[in-house]
Amino acid sequence: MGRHPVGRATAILAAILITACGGTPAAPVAGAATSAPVAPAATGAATSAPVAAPALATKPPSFDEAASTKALYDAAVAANETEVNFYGSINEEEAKPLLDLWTKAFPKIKNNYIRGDETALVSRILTEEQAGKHNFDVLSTTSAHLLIPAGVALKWASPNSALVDPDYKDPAEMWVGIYANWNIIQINTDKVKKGEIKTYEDIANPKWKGQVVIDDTDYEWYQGMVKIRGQAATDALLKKIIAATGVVVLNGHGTINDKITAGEYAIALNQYLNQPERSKRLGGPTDWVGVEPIVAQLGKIVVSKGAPHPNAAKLLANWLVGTDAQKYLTGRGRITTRIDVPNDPPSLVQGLKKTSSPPLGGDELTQIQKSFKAIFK
Amino acid sequence: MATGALRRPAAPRAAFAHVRLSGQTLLLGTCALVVGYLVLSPLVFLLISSFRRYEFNGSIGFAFTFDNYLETYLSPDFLPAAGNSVIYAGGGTLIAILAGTGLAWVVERTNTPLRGLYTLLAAATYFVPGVLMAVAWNALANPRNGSLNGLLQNVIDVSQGPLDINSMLGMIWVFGTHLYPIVFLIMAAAFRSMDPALEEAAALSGAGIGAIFRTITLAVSRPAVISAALIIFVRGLESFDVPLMLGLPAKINVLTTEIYATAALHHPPELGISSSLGVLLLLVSVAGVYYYRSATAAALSFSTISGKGYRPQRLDLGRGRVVAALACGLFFFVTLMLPLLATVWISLFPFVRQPSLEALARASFVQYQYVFGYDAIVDAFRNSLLNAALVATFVVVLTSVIAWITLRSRIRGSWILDALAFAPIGVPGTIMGVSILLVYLTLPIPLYGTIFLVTIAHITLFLPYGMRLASDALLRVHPQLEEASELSGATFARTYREILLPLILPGLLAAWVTILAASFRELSAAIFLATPGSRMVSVVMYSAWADGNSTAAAALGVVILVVIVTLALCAWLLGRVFRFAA
Repeated sequence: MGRHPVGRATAILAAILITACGGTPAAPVAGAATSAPVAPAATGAATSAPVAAPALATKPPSFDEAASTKALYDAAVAANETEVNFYGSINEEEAKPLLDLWTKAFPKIKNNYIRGDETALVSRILTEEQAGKHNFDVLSTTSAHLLIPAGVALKWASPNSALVDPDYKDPAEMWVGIYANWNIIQINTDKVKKGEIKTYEDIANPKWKGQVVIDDTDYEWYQGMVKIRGQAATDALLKKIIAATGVVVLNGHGTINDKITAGEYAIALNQYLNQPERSKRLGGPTDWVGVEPIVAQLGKIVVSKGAPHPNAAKLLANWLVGTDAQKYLTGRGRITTRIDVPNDPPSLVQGLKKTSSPPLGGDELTQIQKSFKAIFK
Repeated sequence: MATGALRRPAAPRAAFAHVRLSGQTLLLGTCALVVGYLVLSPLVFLLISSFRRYEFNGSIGFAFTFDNYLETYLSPDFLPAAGNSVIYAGGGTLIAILAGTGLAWVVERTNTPLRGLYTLLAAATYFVPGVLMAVAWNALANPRNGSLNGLLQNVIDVSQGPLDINSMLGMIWVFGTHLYPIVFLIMAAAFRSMDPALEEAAALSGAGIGAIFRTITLAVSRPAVISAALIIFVRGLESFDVPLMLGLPAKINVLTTEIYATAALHHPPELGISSSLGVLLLLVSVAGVYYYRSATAAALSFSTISGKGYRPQRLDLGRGRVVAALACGLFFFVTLMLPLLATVWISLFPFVRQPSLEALARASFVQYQYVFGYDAIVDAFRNSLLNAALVATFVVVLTSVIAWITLRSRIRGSWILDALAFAPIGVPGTIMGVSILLVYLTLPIPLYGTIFLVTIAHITLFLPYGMRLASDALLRVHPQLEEASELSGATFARTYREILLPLILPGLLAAWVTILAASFRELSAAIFLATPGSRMVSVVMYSAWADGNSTAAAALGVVILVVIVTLALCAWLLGRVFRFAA
C-alpha cells in the first residue's frame, strides 16, 4: 500500500502535537538488517516495568471531544439518518455492551451490528459493492485495509483520531486502529518457573520438546520479528527452536490460550496479550512474557466511500476511537490505541517498547506467509 | 435371492403416472422450476467463481483464469491431502454405517428394551456442534494430558497416551461417531417400514440372526445404505472443523484445510480456490447419484411394502435383549456421555481446567449465568429453531414430490432432476452464501437483509438430504398400491394423501429430523448471511469459541442439548398421547 504524502505530513504534525503535549510516541526500531539487541523481558502485567513508564498524553486545549461528537450527531440527525450499518468481527458478547453504550449516547440512530469473521465480512462487502449495493457504513476487523485497493474505503480522519497513537493509524487516513494486539510469549505457570523464559532463545531447549505451540496465522508477528532481527537471524532462531522443541502448529489464538491454561502445552511461542490476560484475571495458571520491542498489530476500522448513512458512518467511526468506546475496550483487556486513555490496569504495558508494521497485503504478505509456512511446516 | 420373489418384469413404474398428466405436469413443472431456481444459481456461481480472481484497480473487477484450478490441483500438497481426505471420509463413513445401521436394526427390528431412548440419544448427538465435539474429545483423549489417558496411565505403564485423538484414527473416530445419527435415521426409517415376511421365512428355514440381518434385512435396504454412505462420504470430504482442530497438531492435512491455507495466501482470500474444490465435490456427488440410480434401477427389488399383509413385527432376541441393551448403553456412554461429561466439566469454569478434585472445589455456574443473562442468545435460539423447522418442512414437502417424479413418472431425463436436487451437497456453505447474496442483490425480490436469505441458503444446502431420504422411502413402497388406488377411481391427490403419504411418513419424518438438526448446526452460510435480526445459535457459539471463551461455548452447548432433548421428549410424549387417544 502506498503512503500518501499529505497523510505522512499529517502524521508528523500529529506526532509533534502529541509530543508537545507530553506524549511519547513509540521510538522507531532501528534497522531491519541487523538483529536488535534483545531487551530484558517483561513478565505479566504490572509485575515489572524495566523501562521508565511514560506518562499518558494529555489532550491539547483545542481538542473538544464532546463538541465534535455533537456536531457529527447533529449532522446525522439533520440528514434524517436513523440507522447505521456496522460490520464487525468483535464477538457478540463483547459487542453487546458496546452497542448499548452507543444507543445510550445516540438514541436517534439505531446501530445495526452485523457480526462475521473477517474473511466473510470482507467477501460480503466486496460482493455487495460489486453488485452496486452500498450497504456497509463502517467495517471493523484486522484485515479491514484489504478494502482499500477495491476503492470502497473513504479517506477521512475523524476528530478523535488526532489522539490515536501515530503507530496505530494510517498516515493516508484510510483506516484507524481501534485496539492493538500485542504479540507476546504465553506460558503455563505450573509448567514454566518464574524467570525461566525471558527471551525467545530460552525456548530453544529440548526440555520443552512437544510443549511449544504457535498459531498458523502469526504472519504479522513473523514479519515484525524479521523487521527487528533481520530475516536470517529470525529464521535461524525459529529453526533452532523448532529443532529443540518441534513446535506444534495450531489454529486460533483462543484455542491456544485454552490449551496453555489447561496445561496441555507449556509455551505459546506467540500469542495476543489479551488472551492470557483474560485467563490470568480469572485465576488461570498462565502469564505472559514480552520480549521488546513487542510487535503490535491492529484491529482497524474503515469508513465506506458509498456509505448509505454517510454522516452516521462518520459519527460511528469517530465514536469507536472516542473515550467511551476505548474505555470499554480496555476494560475487556484490550490495548487502547488512544494516547490519552489508560489501559486497564494502567500499568499493563507501561514502559514496554513496541513496534508496529504497516498492514500488509498483496504479494508482500503472500511472500511472508510462504516463508512462515516453510519454516513451520 | 429372496428379494427376487418381489421382482416383476413389467410395469416398473406406476401405470397411471402418464395417464393423468394435466395436473401432474403442472406439478412437475412447478417442482422443476423451484429446484432449478434454488439450485442453478449457486451451481452456476460455483462454476463461474472457480474460473475467476479478484482484480483491484481502485474498483472491483475480475480476471478470468485457470489459476484457481492450477494452484489447487497442481500443488505438491494436493495429492497427499486428497489421499488423507479419502481415508478420513471413508473411515468415518464405515464407522457411521456400522454404528448407525446396527443401532437402527436394534431399535426397529428387535424387542430390545429402552428403544425409544436410543432414538432420542442418537438424534441428540447430531445436534451437538462439531467444534464442541472436537473440543470435548481433545480434552478426553489428547496424548499430552487427556483425562482418559490420565486414567489409563494408572493401569498401563506409558508416559504419554495411549489414546491419541490427534491422529487419523482419532479424527475418523470423532467424525464417524458424530455423524452416525444420519445413517441411523435413514436406516431406521427403512427398517421401520419393512415387511417382516422375508425375515420370518429365513428364520423358518433355520437362518441365524446374523445371516438374516446380512442376507435379508441389509440386502433389501440397499438404497438406504447407499444414500447414507453417499451423504456421509461427501460430508467427510467437506469436513473442516475436526481436521483443523484435531489433525493440524499432528500435521495431517486434508483437502479442506489445504484449500483453506491456499485461499489464505490471497488478500482478500480468493473464493475461487474454494470453488475449484467445490467443483470436484460436485463431480463426486453427481457420480454418487449416478451410482445410486444404477444400483437401485431394479426398483421393485427394494419394495418391501406391497399389497400383501404388511405388518411389521420385531425379532425376539430372547436373552440377547439384555446383551443388546447393554451394548447400546455402552455405545451411548462412549460416543455421547463421555464427550458430554467433558463438555459439562469445561463449562463449569471460566477457563479450561483438567479434571481434579482440587478443580472441582472451584467449579461454578458463572458461564451459565452468562448464557441465560444474555438476551441475544434467547433470540438466537428462537431464530435457529424457527429457521430449521421452516427449512426442514419445505425441503421434505418439496423432495417428497420430486422423488415421486424421478422414481414413478415416465418423464425422460427425470434423473437429471434427481442429480440437480442432490448437487448442492458439493457446494461449500460460504460459496452458497455468496451466490445467494448475489442473486438477491440482483433480482428485484425484497429479501435482501432479512433472515429468509439464511432460510433459502439452508433449503438449497439440505435439499440433497431430503432427496435421498424421500427417494428411499418411496422405493420401499410397491407401485401396485398406487395402481390399485388408481384403478378404484381415486384421484392422484387422494392416492398420494391416503395411500402413499402414510406409508412414506416414517422416512419423511426421519428426513425432517435430520434436516432440522443439520440446519440448526450450520455455520458457514449462516455467518455469511447474518443480519442484525437473524443471529443464529451456531454463530453465537462459534463466536464465543473463536474468541477464546470456549467454556462459555461449552455452557451454551450443554444448554442446547438440554433444550433439544426436552423438546424431543415433549414431542415423543405428545405422540404417545395422541396415539393413545386415537
